[in-house]
Amino acid sequence: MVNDLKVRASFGLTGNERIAPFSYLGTWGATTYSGSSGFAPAGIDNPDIKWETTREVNIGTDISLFNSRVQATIEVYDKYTSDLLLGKPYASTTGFSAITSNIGNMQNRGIELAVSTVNLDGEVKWRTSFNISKNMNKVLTLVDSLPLYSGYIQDGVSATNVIKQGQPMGSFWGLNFLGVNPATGNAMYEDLNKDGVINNSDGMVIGNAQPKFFGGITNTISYKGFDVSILFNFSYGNSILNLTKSNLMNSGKTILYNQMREALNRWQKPGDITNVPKYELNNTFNSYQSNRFLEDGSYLRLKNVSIGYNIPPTLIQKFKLSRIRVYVTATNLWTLTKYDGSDPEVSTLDGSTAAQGIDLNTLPQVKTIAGGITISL
Amino acid sequence: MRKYLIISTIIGAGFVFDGCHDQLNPKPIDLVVNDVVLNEPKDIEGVVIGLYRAFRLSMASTILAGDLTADNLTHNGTFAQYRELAIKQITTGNATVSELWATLYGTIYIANFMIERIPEIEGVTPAVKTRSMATAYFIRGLCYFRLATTFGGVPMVTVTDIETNRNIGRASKDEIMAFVLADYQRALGNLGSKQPTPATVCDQTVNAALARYYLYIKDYASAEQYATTVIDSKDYVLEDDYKSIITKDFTDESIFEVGYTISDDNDGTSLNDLFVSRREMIPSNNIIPIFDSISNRACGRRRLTITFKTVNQKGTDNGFEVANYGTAVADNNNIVVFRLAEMYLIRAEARAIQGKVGGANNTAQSDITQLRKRANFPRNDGPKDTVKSHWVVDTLATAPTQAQMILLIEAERRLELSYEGHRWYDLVRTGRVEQVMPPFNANWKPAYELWPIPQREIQNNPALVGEQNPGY
Repeated sequence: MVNDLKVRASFGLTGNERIAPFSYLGTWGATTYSGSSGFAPAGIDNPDIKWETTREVNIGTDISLFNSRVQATIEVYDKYTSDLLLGKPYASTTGFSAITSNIGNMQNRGIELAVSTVNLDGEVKWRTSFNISKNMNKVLTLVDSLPLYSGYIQDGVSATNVIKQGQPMGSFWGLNFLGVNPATGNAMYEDLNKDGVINNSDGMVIGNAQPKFFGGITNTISYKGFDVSILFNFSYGNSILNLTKSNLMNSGKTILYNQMREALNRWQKPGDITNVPKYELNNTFNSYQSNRFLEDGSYLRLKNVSIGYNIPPTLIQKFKLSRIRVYVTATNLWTLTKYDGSDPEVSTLDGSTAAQGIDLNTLPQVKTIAGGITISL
Repeated sequence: MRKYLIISTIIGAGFVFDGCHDQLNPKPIDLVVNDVVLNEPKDIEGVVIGLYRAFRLSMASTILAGDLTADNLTHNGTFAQYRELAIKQITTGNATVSELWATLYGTIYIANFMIERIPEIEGVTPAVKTRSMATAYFIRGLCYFRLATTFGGVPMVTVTDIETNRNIGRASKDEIMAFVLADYQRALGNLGSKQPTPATVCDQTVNAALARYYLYIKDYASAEQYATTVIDSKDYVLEDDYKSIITKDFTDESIFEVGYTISDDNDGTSLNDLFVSRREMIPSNNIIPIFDSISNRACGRRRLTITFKTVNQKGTDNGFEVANYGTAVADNNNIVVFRLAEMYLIRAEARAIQGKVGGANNTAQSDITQLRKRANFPRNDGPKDTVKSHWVVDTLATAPTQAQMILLIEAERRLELSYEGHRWYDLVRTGRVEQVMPPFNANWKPAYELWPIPQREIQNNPALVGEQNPGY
């Protein structure tokens, strides 16, 4: 029954090579002023800077069953990154607004499962491969224990994202939206520190862009000359900060944007019960950065479908052709999601580890259908 | 043979170790490190240039503080930081607020660096040493003056030590203002005579700064005295034609302006980008009648401060634009810090408050008349003004009462100095802000007489926690 069973484990320490040189020195670069050349401070000296280290423990097992018709891989990992190097905002009274420094320690723990099966292996061949992953990221400690802000600047609070102890890296930051006051039509936010003023001190972690789990499934079926391949992928439990919507439902902050149809539900007269605050020109309060613009980004997407047909060689040999294949491929054909924006697979600040999952005027991924004929001579 | 082989092996190994050492400890090629940037007499000039350039970075947000926080500009773009300032819903996270704070302290860092290191450099001639130290003191004073008038009391940073400066609380506004005066006095007399261009400072620049300083602290006799010193030096003369103020750099009346050349025009926030290319901010409907009405016989050629383009006029966009700041290739991309007309206005105000209102000589009236006469320069080349009489200015033949004169000077400052970063500071300084601003925008509240301490500073400097300005 078991054809192959392998258990493996690894342990290692790795560094991070994507670090600018000379971060430990106070440096000056060239500058010009009114036609003369001189020096301007380029970086603050940080004699305490150290290498970042990631200690990774990984245990995996590969198993192959029933004449290799079922193959599975399970991996469990635990990565502990100490002395995480990141540009950190700095008190400008030092003359510098940021410093590259060891900001703290971070942990990534996760499990990955991949299974591929040969369901049918006769005249009809049907193979399935499925993978699912879960990663849990957490900032364990921060130097100074102070949160670091990142992402965009929005009205109401300092930033859209935060790096905070005990929270996933780059969690969303904002106010807690409590609804619309039926008497005044203004937004109500939770005054966390009870000082009577709504500002960054009332900000809190409102969610994060890390999915609870994500993965994909591919089915490949072939019969005689026909073959079909269908790929779905999915993500569950991640949040998206819909900044596009905060512009398109801006409560009159500015008149430069067209508004969504949902704006028709706005509060208009005392007694209106709604979750859309009133519109008032130049009012920013009613569209402060809050969990009002945070949405569930879970999705199931038909990422790729391709159907092909190979014309039997016997029919084409007399034309001195070795192969003719006709095919149609489609991508992003269908998506199931509750997300309000154009595409749940977004990240405007792509590449930033400290501010993921923001949708600000992002164009959706294109839906394509392509067909073709391949002729081999 | 074998012996040679061993020796050459040892030498070879020596090379290898040496090369390895170089690879592991490379030296920066395009950067200079703290320890050597200011070590020899010849280094001083480069760091002074860096000081001016750092100060230049603060000027765009200074202009916005003065004009956008008040009633001279309306928001016409998309950026939250400018919208907040324009519609009077200023929040502590505002990026322009942080920019002004950070650029001023960035300048102060270089000044402190110079003040700490220049005395230790061997072989510097006394003249170079005196002048460079005085430049550092003076620019530092200018920065603290801007910080105190914008934020109130701020951290007083006087050294470069990072551990000290990252955890430092607010000094009182009076302490900062006293420190500004001390810095100006350390500079005065050590900066020498007028420079080839007003891109760098001289003793008259310090006198101009002192005139402004005393006006702000309401010591009118001293304000009048220092303004008179600058005017009587005859180092600067009013341009014949006000148009030059709008269209040219380094005018004859410029006392100090931060200079841009084509290559560094994109250094920091570009006012041309904000006012012309993007039209992020446009002259407010409140200021337009002052410049664009024939019946305002105080304006004259100062109406060239704003220009009208039909193509821009649509929706809430009134079609006007601020004309002071040109593109990199234009001759008007510098930002003026002090110019002679302001000295006349400082003196006029100081004299009016001291009771020297009307009369042909040494009065507020005689100072204002100088500016009115210049604005009346008889030319006729404005696109919108085809009739020569549009430029005609009432040259203030008779003096009004003292109270009227003080208001007239406030209006005159707006005509003369709009988009040079004065209006908000003027209204707060004279206490007129609570009369002028609420009618302009109902969101105005007295808290906006100061900008907030940037939220990011409170987050990153433990000594500022709980020290925010009231009302934010």
